[in-house]
Parts: sequence; C-alpha cells; structure tokens
Amino acid sequence: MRKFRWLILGVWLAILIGAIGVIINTKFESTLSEFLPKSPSAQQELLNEQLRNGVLSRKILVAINGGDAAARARISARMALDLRKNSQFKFVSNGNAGVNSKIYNYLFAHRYLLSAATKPELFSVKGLHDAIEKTLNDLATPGGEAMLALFPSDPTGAMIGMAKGMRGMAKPRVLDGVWVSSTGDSALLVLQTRFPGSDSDAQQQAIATIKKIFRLAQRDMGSSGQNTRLQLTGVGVISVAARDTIIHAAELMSLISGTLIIMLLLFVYRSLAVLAFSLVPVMSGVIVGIAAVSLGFGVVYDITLGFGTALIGEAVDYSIYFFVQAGEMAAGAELWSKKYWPIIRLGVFTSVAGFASLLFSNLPGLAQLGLYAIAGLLTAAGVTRFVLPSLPLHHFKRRDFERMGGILVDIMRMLSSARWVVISLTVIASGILVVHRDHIWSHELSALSPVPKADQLLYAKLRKDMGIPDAGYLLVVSGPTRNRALEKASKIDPLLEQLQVSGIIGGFQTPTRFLPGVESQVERISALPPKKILTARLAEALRGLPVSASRLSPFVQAVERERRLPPLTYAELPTGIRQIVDSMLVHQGQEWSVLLPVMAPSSGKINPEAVQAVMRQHHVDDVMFVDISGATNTLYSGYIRNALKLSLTGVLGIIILLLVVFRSVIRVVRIMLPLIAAVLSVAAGFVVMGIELNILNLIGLMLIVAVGSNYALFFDRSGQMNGEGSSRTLVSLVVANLATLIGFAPLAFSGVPVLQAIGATVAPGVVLALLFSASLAERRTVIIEQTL
Amino acid sequence: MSIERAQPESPVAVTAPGINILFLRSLLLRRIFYLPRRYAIGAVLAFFIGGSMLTQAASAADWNITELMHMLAQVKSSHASFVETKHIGFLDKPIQSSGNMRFVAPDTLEMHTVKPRDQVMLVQGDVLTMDKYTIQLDDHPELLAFVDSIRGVLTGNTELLETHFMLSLKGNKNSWTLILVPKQNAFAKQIKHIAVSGIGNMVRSIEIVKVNHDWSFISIRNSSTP
Repeated sequence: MRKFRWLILGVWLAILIGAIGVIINTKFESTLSEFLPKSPSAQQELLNEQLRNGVLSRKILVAINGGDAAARARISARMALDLRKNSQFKFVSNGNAGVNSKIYNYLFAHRYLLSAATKPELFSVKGLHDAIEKTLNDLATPGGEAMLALFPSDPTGAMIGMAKGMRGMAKPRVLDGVWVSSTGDSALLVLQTRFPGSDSDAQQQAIATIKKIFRLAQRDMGSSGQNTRLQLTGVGVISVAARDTIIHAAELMSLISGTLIIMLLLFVYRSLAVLAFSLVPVMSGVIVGIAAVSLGFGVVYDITLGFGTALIGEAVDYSIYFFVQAGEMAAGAELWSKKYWPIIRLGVFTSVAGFASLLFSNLPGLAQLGLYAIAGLLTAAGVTRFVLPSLPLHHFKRRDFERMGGILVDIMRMLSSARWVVISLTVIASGILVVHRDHIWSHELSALSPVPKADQLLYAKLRKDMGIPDAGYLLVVSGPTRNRALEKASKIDPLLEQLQVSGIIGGFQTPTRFLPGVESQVERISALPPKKILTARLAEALRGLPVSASRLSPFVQAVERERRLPPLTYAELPTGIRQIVDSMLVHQGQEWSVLLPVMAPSSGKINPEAVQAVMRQHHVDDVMFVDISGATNTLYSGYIRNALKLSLTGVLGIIILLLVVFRSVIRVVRIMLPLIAAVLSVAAGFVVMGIELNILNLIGLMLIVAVGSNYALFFDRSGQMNGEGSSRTLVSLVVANLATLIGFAPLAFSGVPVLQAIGATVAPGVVLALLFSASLAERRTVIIEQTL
Repeated sequence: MSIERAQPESPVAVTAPGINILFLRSLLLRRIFYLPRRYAIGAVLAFFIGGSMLTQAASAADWNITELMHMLAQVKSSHASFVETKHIGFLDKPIQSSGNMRFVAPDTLEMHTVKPRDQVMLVQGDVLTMDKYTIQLDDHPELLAFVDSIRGVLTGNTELLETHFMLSLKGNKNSWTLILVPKQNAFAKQIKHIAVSGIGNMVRSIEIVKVNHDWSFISIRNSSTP
C-alpha cells in the first residue's frame, strides 16, 4: 500500500485535473425539455420543434395589473409604442385597431380570391338569386343593419361568410382601446421576439427590456401609475425563470445542506482537519460526475447540477464510514480495508446497479442523473478506499464513540423488539396501496416540469385571455413547398367546415383564409364571370327581389377587378397578414407543414375517429390529426411504464448481485425486506396524503433501495463483529443516515417540482430504511450485545 | 390593364367608418357578433319598453315624463310579439322581420326572431348573447350607455336617461309618444332620434330614425301567453 502511495495520489490528481478541464469547457443548459423524450415520433418531433423554436416559443405575454383601467390602458399604449421601436421584438400588439384595418382592407380587396364560396355555381343566375336573397334576409333580421353598408359591393355575403369562419379565432376583450383579461382587471400585450424561446440569454435580455420600458411608462404616468405591476409569461420567460429558480434552488440547497453536513461532521469528528479530509471523496465524486456527464452527453442540464447537492449526502457516507469505523488511524486504515471495505464495496455496487437502470431512461434528464450518480459514487468510494489512507492522517486522534455507540445499541435493542411494528406497518402500507391502486400514479405531464405550478397557471391564464389556443388538437398537412402545403390545406377547409357544421369540431383556424394555395385561387378566378355576363345574369337574378341591378354596380366592378388579379403570393403579403400565416406554417428539413389548430366543440372533446372517417371518405389520407393532450398523455403513460420497468430492473439487479455474493436466499430476503418495507411505507404515506406519485417519486423510491442497501448490508454483517465494532458501525450508520437526510430533505422545500418530489421521497425513506433494517437485523446480533 | 392591389374599390365600404370599424373587429378579433350593435340598441329599447305593457299603474292627475317613468318602472316581467319593418334607402321595398320578446326583471331580455330566419338574442346583466356568441357590454361603451338608459327607464331613473338623451313627451296619457334624441356622442352620429309610442302604460311601437334617413318601425303586440 505504502509504496503505491505517490502513484495513487498522482493518478487521483491527474484525474481531477482532467475532469476540471472537461468541466471548464462544458455547456450548461436549461431547456425545459430534459424530461421530454429523446427519440420522439415524427409528430412529437414536430411539436418539440415548435415548443423550442416555433412562433409560440417566441411569444411573450404581458399583463399590467393594479391601478385603474385608464392608467393600465395608457401604460399599455405607451409600452407598445416604445417596444415597437426596439429591434428585439418582431411584433408588438396591444389591441390597437391599426393592424386590424390593414387586415380588413386586405380581406375586402381580395374577398373573391379568399372566399371558399367563390364557385361557378355561385355566379349562375340561381346562385346569385339565392345568395342575394339570403343576404337580404340577414339585413331584415334585427341587427342586420350592421351589414348594410357592405351590401352594394358584396351582396352575396362573401365577407360575412369569411367573418363567420373566423369566429373561432382569438378574441381578447377590449377596454379603453386596449386588450384586457377576461375579468377586465389587467391590460394585455403580446410580443414576439426575434429569437426563439430556447435561447435563454436572448430571452433574458428581452425580459429586461420589457421591464425597463414598463418602469419608464410607469414613471411618466406619475401618481396614477404607481400601483401598477407587470407580469410576464411565455415559453421563453418560463425557461429563463426555471433556469434562475433551479440555479437559485441548487445554490441555496447546496449551501443549506453543505452547512448542516459540515456541522454534523464537525460534531462527530471534533476536528477541522478530519472534516477537510472527509470532504475529499465527495468533492472528487462531484467533479468526476459532472465531467462524466459532460463527456457522455455533450451538455449538462442545470437540473442535473441540482441533484449534486443530494449526491453529497450519499457520497459523504463513505468517508463517514471510513473515519468512524477505522480505529486508530495508522493501524485502523489497514484493519478497516479488511473488515469494512468489502461491505461498503458491495453497498457501492448495489447503488450502482440501481442507478445503472436510469442510464437507459428515454428521458435525457434521468439518464444524466444516472451517469452522474454512478461516476460520482464510484469515484467517491474509490477515493475513500485508496486516497484517504494515503493522505497524511497520522496526527488525528479518533474520537471515542463508546458512549454514543452504547446508547445506539440500546435503541437498536428496543427497535429489535418492535419488529412487529415494522411488519404491521408494511402490511398496512400494502393494504393502502392495493386499495388505492388506481390512484397511485399521477398522469399529469406537468409534474415532470421543473417549472413551478404558479408559473404554469399564469401562462395558461394569459393564453386563455389572449385566445391563443391551448395545445388541444392540430391537423397537420405537409408538402414539398409552402404553396403545395397551403394547397393541401385549402382542399381540407371544406371538410373542416362540414365537421364544424355537424358539431364534431367546434371550429378551426387556417392560414388559407389569408393565403389559399395558388391552384385554388386560379380556380376561383376562373369562376368569376366577365362583366357583361355577370351584368346580364344579375338582372335576371334580381327578379322578385327588392333591389335593382343599378344599385349593385360596385359588386360588378369588384368581381371584374378581382377577375383580372394574378393569384396572391406569400412574398406580397402585408406584414400583419404574414404573421398570421407564419404562425401556422412550419418549415422543417425538406418539408413545409401547415398546422391547423382545431377547437373542440362544447362537449370539450373531439372524436379523432370521426374526423379521420370524414377525411377518408373524401380520399384525403395524408393528413395527420394530432390530439396533443392525448398524445402527451400516451407519452406520459409510456414514461411511467418505462420508469417502472427500469426501477424494477434496478431492484432486480441489486437482488441478483446480492444473490451472487451471498449465495443465500434467506440472507438476501433479510437484507431486502426492510428496504421494501420502507419503500411501501413511503409510497403509502404519499397516497394517504392524497399526493399522486410521478416518475421522480419513483426514482426517489429506487434511491431509497440503493442507499438503504448499505445499511441493511452493515446490519447483516454486524452479527459477525465484536461489541466495539458493532457499536461503531451503528454510529457510522446513524451519522451517514443523518447526512443523507440533510442532503435530501432541503430539496423537499426547494420550490422546484422535480427536486421536491425526489427530496420528499428519499428523506423519509432513508430514515425508515435505517430503522427497519435495525429492527429486522438478525437476532444473533442482539444476543451478542446482551451477553456483553 | 393596370392592377392596384389592396386598393379598396368601393368607397361605400371604406368611408362608412362605423361599419368599417365594426367589421374590422368582428373579422379579426371580435367575431361577427360585434355587428348587431344597432340592432341590439333597437331591440333592447323595444323590449324594455315593451315590457311595460303589463303594467297596470293607476292613472295620475298630472301627465308628464316623471309619471310615465313611474308607470314603466312597475314592470316585473312581460312577453310580446313584434314586427320590425326596415326602410332602407337603396332597396326598392321595405324588408320585414318578426318574432317574440320576453323580459324578466331586473335585467334579462330575450328577442327571438322567427322570420325571415331563426335567431335568438339575449341580454342578461352585462352580457349580450346572440345565437352562441357572447359579448361583454362593458367592452362597448355605446351599447352599454344605451342599455343603461333603458335600465334608467325601467327603474324610473329619468336622470340616468337624460345623461344620454334629450327627452320630450307628446300627446296625452291615452296616446303618447316619448322622443329620445341622442346627445352629442358616437351614438348621435348614427341615430337621429327614437320615438316610443304607447297607449296608457302599454308601449305599442318604436320608431328609429337614422342620420342617413333609413328608418325602422317596430310594432309590438301583447302576447296572449305571458
């Protein structure tokens, strides 16, 4: 051992320096998609791409609260003015009608090219007669006067038809000339950034700009603006906030658990030098762990770092075992490596077997955690075994743990006689789980989000107020060019209208209302009769109607004008119109896709089979109907199944490992029993409290097994130890357990949902695992203690 | 052949600003529902005043606006049929619609048109619903002002009415006409005056005369089934 000392230290330092070098060049990222699948289907990929870089990801929703309505409206107007001057924003909208009149003029000037009603039949004598009669009936009905001025230039109701088609579109309320929330107590703006939502740095700058402009507007308002507040949300805003929250939580939690663990260790060791040395394995583990993730994945997620704090609690155990269990340092280290190291080694391997299953997770966030944990634990254990004894520890005086050990032995004796409590707890927990078996697992994908619930709710609320459709249903058609994709969408429009009339869908949006495919436009143009023919037909069509042909000359002129127009193209769209069209178009690889948001009818659900049946009936077969919530639910169920499978594989791996080592089923059962009892009790505890478990709770449960197996192994072996060794082992286990508790418990209060789930599961779980292992330990141990 | 894109060819559509704005909003953001502003105004008026037909207030010695308001305010609920005739400048003949109305105090008003096509309009509190579309009256100051005025009539609040209209009363108790002339506001740009006529405490007709000389006449008959 001694002769390799310098070699060992050299290798250790070289690895650390190399790892630090890797970390310096590592990209740290917070993408919100850590827990989205890494190999999604074509549909899912499209949606992920939209989420990361699509138009929706670029939208920032702004709410101005507080003050009075007039003050909010003035601040909104002022902010819109200033934001429009800023190059970070592609467009800024707060409800001012300027854009709307542009859109109105565009639609009005091209109404026959844009209206799906433009067909040869409409311009026949009968078609004209029926259409004009219908418009007259609309005029006669109360309220019809509003359409009066349009009648001479649009007697067939092309504009009204288009307006009706768009009634499912966004409809924020307007108060004092600006958009407001449905309750009217906040003014709303919608901004679109030039940079995608996944570019957190650019988003952060944009957020800072908005805040600055709000403060300026507020200041200029004087006293009336004083009580107003700004609220921002959007994919980018949430990403930035999540990143900040995670970094903040990780820092705070590291600080809290770090301080507590150091206090605990100081209390136990009563020596700063021992404390410093005991942190060597942990720090080495963290450094090598991060470097391993960086090498394995190319990027390190911020959330992975968040778990680093938790790992400190687990890896610090090894040095605790070393320092507490080893006797006098010089001789103790040698003795320790003979007597205790095999147990710890087995404990490390059981933990690694547990974490290894995470490596195969289809959630990149979990796979990173698995690699981080494995690399970190192996390093920490290796450093404890080989580096710590090589360090100059001679002048340390070991603290006497006899008294503490004695107390713990007494407690253990009590626990041992209370083993019926453990048995009945396990039975009760199993009973609870069986009774609630349908409500154990949460089916909400949001549980996986690192975004706090409040942020998710604000986003959902403002989206609803702005009329931005929920991720409900999408119809996707694709083509090799933009025009081909639009042309396909134009062909689907009438089918969707049919579905809307029959109540299968509530409504839909389509870019073809603003830019139909060229082919459709050419068809419509050819349906428009030349002036002479139209005049003749009109005269005949008006027979029996209370209007004379001379009144409708604006109509005849409009038809003639549009008949001579070339088809509209994307390039000449006015900006406001182009935004609308762009928001429903995706260019990916070689393909253009049109995404048509489809609204559910009042029942709240769309039957996808009914939609697909209509599509098939009309021989439209290359349309993809995506039920986004359904797709994510299916996806989530897939994750849960996958994670369950992985966790069970992990537990199975641990059992097989133990079987191979011990070659005794009874011994393995005795080791696993307290761990399974702890897992069942924690799961039942959650169920009783009405909390549904998600994937991260599941991972936490597996961590209980991985960490708890160390305790169980020590109790298994302590039967073969003498009194002093046994009580010292107990002390080391309790200290290690406390350290793990301190490492995980603060996560439960971190405010980041994913971290909370793990913390709240592992912290109580490891305590139970220790207590249960102690009380279920072989009676022989207790007998030995008693004979002393 | 020269082609100018986005050049509105019809001066009517673009120069009629009220209609234009109505359409802009309805097309893009508000849906078609924003359209029935004027109609709603007429209908609301017709209905609230029509409701007074069931009121059987005792006759008083003095006949003036205060007395009329007092009588009309007694209405708790009513049911009536209506026929509206619209006289529109560019049409050779007037066009007609008809249906039923229902009022329940304090603020529910329903107008169900049967001819020429089926349509249901409902005002309940500050919400106006037409077929399945909804608008908030708060978002439409003109409409809200009007509804408030009608509520002024129903509650006998002459003061509230006078913030929006100049009132004058003609005739006697057995045949009266209340004339409402809008004060200078957006409403006044469209409506010249509204004349409500009645016999005793029953409203029999509402005449709405527009600034462009179009006019409509709503005749109201007490329904046999209240």
